[in-house]
Amino acid sequence: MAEKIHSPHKYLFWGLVFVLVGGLWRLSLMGWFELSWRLMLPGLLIVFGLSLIISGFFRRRPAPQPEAPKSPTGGR
Amino acid sequence: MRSGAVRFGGFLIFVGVFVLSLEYVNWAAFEPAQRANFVIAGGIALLIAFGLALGSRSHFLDEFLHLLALAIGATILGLFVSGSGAGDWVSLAGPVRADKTLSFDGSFSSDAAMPSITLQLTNGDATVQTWDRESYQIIVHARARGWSQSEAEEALAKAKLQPEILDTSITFTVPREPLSLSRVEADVEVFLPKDHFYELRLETLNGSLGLTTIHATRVFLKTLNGRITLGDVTAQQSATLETLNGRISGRLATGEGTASTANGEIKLILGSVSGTYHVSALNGRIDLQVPEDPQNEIGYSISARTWSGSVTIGLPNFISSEQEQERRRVEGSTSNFTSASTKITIQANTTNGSIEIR
Repeated sequence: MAEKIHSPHKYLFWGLVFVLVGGLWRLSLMGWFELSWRLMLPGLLIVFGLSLIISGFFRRRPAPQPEAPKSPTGGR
Repeated sequence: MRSGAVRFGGFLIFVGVFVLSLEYVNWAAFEPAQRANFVIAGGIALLIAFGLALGSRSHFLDEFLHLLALAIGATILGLFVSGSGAGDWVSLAGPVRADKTLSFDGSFSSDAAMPSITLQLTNGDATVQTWDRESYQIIVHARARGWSQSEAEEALAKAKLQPEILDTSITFTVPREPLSLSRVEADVEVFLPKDHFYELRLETLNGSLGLTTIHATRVFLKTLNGRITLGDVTAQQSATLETLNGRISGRLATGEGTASTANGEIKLILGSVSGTYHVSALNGRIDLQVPEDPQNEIGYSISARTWSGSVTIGLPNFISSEQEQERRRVEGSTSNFTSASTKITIQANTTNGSIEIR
């Protein structure tokens, strides 16, 4: 099959972002902590960072290709 | 398959769903906990889409999942943006227009020393003028747009166009209907009895603001896109005139005056009362005309600076304490400033344009 046009890992990344942001929002509404603008930027950075790390774990690195044997003639 | 065209199509769909989510979904009707649940549910749906897309071997399933992900992302973005007020910037108002004019009359109570007038518009002009009558009159020219005549008329009928009138104050606000695709605009004209002092606060996003001859204690005029025009305005305490795109012009006498614009000229004729004026423009010249003073009773202290242009001070007896060779910065005062009975201090700054004080 040809290479995929859309990377599924983007869905994973944004899915994690939404779950984490929504979860934190829900927890703040339940009184676990007070959501303030002061927390917004560092909170978002942490959420994005975590999501990047987790989605990064799921990306498969391409297996290293064995080196092609050198031509005995050393042709150009 | 051309992946660039597919991605661009996805982008257009994302924008379309985002705008529809802003315009059609009344997010304010949901409790905050429900909105948080929506975000979590959207995230879980995307995680399921990830699992399905990973195992998919079909382009059609891939595209379907991608469209689903775009719709979820755009809807949730709409949810967040609607809460921030940025939704007001997105409008799908239709081409058909309906309009009507309403008039409200009354008079202030006799013990109303300083009636306050507050007009808060989104799109529309506001003018306040005085007349010889004892009563006031408010005229609202309202317009609404829609995709059909009935839709526009319905939007107009739904809009709250009734000012809040109390014994000592008039307040008129045009809220934007969040669920409607029709945008309501209103121009407001207010006629006031001229023998009162007023507290005036006029704000609009897109529209001009104007005052004719009027006496006030405080004046606050703010618009984003539109000019500010003053007839002959006296503001005992302060006058604030702010616009982003538009010129500011007219006669002003106040104790503490601020006039600022980003794009436009500022042309003011100052009155002969003691006061401080902060005048600033980004792109535009500043032209301040000071009152005639044959008795030499008015003293001036001036600090003027431009980054591109020149500063010209045409006042008799003006002594520069600091002046650059290119005449881009001039500071100084008239010789009578310390002894003058009326003192006017002017701070004028512009980035692109000349400054003339005469």
